[in-house]
Amino acid sequence: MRNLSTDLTGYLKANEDQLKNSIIHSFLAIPENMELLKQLIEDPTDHLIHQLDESFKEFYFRIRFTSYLSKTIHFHSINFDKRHRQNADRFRLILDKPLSSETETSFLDVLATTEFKNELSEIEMSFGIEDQLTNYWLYEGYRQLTENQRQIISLAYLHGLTDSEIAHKLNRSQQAVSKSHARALKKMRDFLETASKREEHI
Amino acid sequence: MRDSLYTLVKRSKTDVQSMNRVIEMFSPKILSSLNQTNHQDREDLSQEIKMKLLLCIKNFDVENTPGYFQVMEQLKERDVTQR
Repeated sequence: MRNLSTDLTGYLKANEDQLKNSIIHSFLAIPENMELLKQLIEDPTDHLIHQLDESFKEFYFRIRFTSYLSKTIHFHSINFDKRHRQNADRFRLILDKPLSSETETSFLDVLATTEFKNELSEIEMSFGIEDQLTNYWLYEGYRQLTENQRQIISLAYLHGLTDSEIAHKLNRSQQAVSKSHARALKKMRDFLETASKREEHI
Repeated sequence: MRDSLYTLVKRSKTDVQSMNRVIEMFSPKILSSLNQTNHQDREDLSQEIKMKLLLCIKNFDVENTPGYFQVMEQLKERDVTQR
């Protein structure tokens, strides 16, 4: 009997390094498992080997799987919250909440200021699109237009207004604006085409 | 005796009841992780996590768990290569 217990201590000594591993260590800290190992060393049968293996699998699996699921839950909830906060930030429901923690300006204020900017740009509308044109022939074509057409082209392409918005601004009917808009474009296109033909001749 | 997590997960590949019990076992962890988000989104999050767990449990390779002797061998090999 004494000999057998030295077998166990012998085994434990031979595998000392491996036993320091926390999983093996905590597995053998359970008396039943230690008992099983002891029996196994005394009498290594297939049945006992299988039993020890199974009980270890069960033990190890519980640790592995629990940590796996815990981590999954942890990171999934963090990502979920991140995504939701991002969405809440992009699609705001509250207008007078500060845009970020550093500034005090709220979304509402920004909306108000962009409106203010719009008002400012209305004053600047006297400056037409001709200052922005870089193509010489296009510029020349633009100069062929009447004052009314120039104004419509500027409002439509420099300020991005629709025909009905222009009509509202100029106190005219939308049909009239659309008509002069189309006529202005046709005039410029015709001018460009004849100009390019002229260039080909040269 | 209560079923161990090992057998429950093994069975939950086919058995819905076992799957339910596994997810219930993790409900304290789920509840505590709900603190990550604000009040309105908690129910959504709880559902999302459960869906995620369902997939994890279904796809986890239970048979791949190494046995006692396998782990001992691995540890020995690692110790040898480290030297």
